[in-house]
Amino acid sequence: MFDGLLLGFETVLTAQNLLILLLSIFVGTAVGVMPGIGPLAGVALILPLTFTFGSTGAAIMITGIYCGAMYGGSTTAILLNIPGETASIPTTYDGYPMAKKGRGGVALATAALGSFVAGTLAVLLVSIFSPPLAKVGLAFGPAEFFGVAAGGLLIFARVSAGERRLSRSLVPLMLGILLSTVGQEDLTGKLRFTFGHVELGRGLSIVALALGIFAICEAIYMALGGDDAIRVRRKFGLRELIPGRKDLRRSVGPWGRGALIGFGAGLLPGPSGTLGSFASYGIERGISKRKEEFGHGAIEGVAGPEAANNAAATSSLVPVLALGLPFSATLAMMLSALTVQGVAPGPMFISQYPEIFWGLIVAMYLANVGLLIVNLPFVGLWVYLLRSPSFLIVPIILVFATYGAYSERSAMLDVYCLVIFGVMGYVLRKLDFDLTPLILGFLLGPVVESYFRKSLFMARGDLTVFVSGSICMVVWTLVVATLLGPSMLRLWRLSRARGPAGKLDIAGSKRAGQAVRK
Amino acid sequence: MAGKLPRSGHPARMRASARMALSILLLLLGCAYGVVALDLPRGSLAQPGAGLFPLLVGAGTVIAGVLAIWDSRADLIASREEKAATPEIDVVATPHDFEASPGVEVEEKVPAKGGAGTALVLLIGFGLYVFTLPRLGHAIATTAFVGLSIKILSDLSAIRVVVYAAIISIATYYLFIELFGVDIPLLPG
Repeated sequence: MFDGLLLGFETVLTAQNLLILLLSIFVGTAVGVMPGIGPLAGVALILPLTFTFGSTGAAIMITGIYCGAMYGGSTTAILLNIPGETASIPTTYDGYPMAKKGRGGVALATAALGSFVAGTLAVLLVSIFSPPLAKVGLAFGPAEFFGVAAGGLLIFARVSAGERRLSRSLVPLMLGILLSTVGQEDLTGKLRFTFGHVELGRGLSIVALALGIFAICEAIYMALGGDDAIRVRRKFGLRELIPGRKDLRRSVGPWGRGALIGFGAGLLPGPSGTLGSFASYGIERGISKRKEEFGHGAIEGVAGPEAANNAAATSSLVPVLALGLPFSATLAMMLSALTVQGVAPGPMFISQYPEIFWGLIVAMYLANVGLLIVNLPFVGLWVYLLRSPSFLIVPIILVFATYGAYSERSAMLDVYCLVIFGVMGYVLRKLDFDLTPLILGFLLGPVVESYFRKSLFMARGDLTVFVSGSICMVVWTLVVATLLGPSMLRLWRLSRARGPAGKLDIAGSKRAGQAVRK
Repeated sequence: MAGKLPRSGHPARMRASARMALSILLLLLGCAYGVVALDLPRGSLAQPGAGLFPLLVGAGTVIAGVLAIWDSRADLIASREEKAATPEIDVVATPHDFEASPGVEVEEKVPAKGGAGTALVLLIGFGLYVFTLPRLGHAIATTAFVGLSIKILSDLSAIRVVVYAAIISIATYYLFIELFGVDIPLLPG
């Protein structure tokens, strides 16, 4: 079990890889802190740069950017009440009140230490669970993989829509799958939906799509908003960053619980970091003896969600690398970087590329150590970066995205697609559609098709193959329950609110409706 | 700056209408995609061809479109009811300022321009940049585009605009063309 970890350390602890990791943490934090650019846009912008390095270097680079950007998001959440990403929202509840009380430095250090503690625990748990999970993956046939991939996408669409209507995530998901079918088909080499354009035969570029819907879309938003740059005068001395003994005593429990909650959330399809951090905040508030402090600067409200967020980031690597199925946009982009390098994640991934798998796990762990060493002393710099005005950030994003889209295949078609995807992403986001399912649909569409056709081929056209195995049954039952569960629950509560004669008890039904909304 | 909010400009209703239009567009896209997919070889269930999966995707897109139309219709009805229940309100001011926080002292703000017109000009400029980049080369196209962007997004003086544009252009040249070997010409021809 620990042989793998040792291999990972051996892989990452080279001068070049360490340098890549440290630089990417630094750049990632800068990207996460800059107004408007979140982890997704940051990773999308950096994706083309990874093609220069080998597969291990590329994976390490994206890991560093991802961890750094998440920490950057937490920094803005604590200091300015601006969460860099949805997973940082719970951090604002108590992190920002702590900053208002002059304890922003302690909150930042608690977040970084929490990430480190959770990262350590998550790495240990991943080391324990990954090899058996990889064996489970080997027991899967095409029908099971089809179930996990297609069913996982549907579950993801339901979970990511949250309280909104399902169409908000189903529409982008279908658009993503639809776009993925453009170009030469893998199994027979047939050209599809190219309309006579030879360039389209290579298919649409995931880099152009990711940059368009995340980076260009963000730039359009910033140009529309005309965000004023914020000049922040606050300076942090190192002494301010050191939590007291009481702070540490109060944080240890939430760190541990947050790590476990986040680890579990990371294994599920869906926005795992967000689920983990919200669940952790709810639990910490629920079990705390100082409930009245929550929302007013309780350190547990920072320690728990930050630990959960980080642990989820680590454990969400397990299904990606063991089954080849990413269920977050960042992981989808990590997978794209590996695919471009010729590495195919899947059930054989751990046995075929152990150095990349364990290198990634260790890189994520070392990124947390790096956050402590590199980032905390530079907190003044991050605060300074908050001053970056949008009139500089917007053109930089647009130029970087242009070069990024072009550099993957040296094709101007990708750059034209970038512009189209950017406008499409903006329209979808403006109309409250979720963009993550679009990128997941695009990436997993060919995987779903491949397993679908292989299953039919192997079963000689017998359609029952998709529901005959026990794994398939479990997956599809979960899909049906997730998709229909909320509506059924609502109908059941409404029927309970009706009187015995079948008349609708208006007050009762209103109460039921409110209960469902809650 | 007081005034009445126009009834027709109810944002929730406008958004629901736009969503309805997009949903219809998606439905049509799904149908058109399905029709094109019919020309692809479908094979048999035992030996599925390249056209079978696209047919399913087309059907799925149509279903997603119908669901989105249904949801948009419900949103439209809800926004109509909400509008009927909400009286017209006086807009006393349109606060745009960043809320200063006591914990983190906000010293001042660097003014930046924005809005739909600005974004549209920027997008058109970006389209032109993308189109002219291979013809004009990095030096001219990137410097001109970055300069234009900074100009329309800020009130900076012409000299500062040129300096910022030149710095960004040189930095991207060294990063992408020199360091990463991206084959975009530096100059025209």
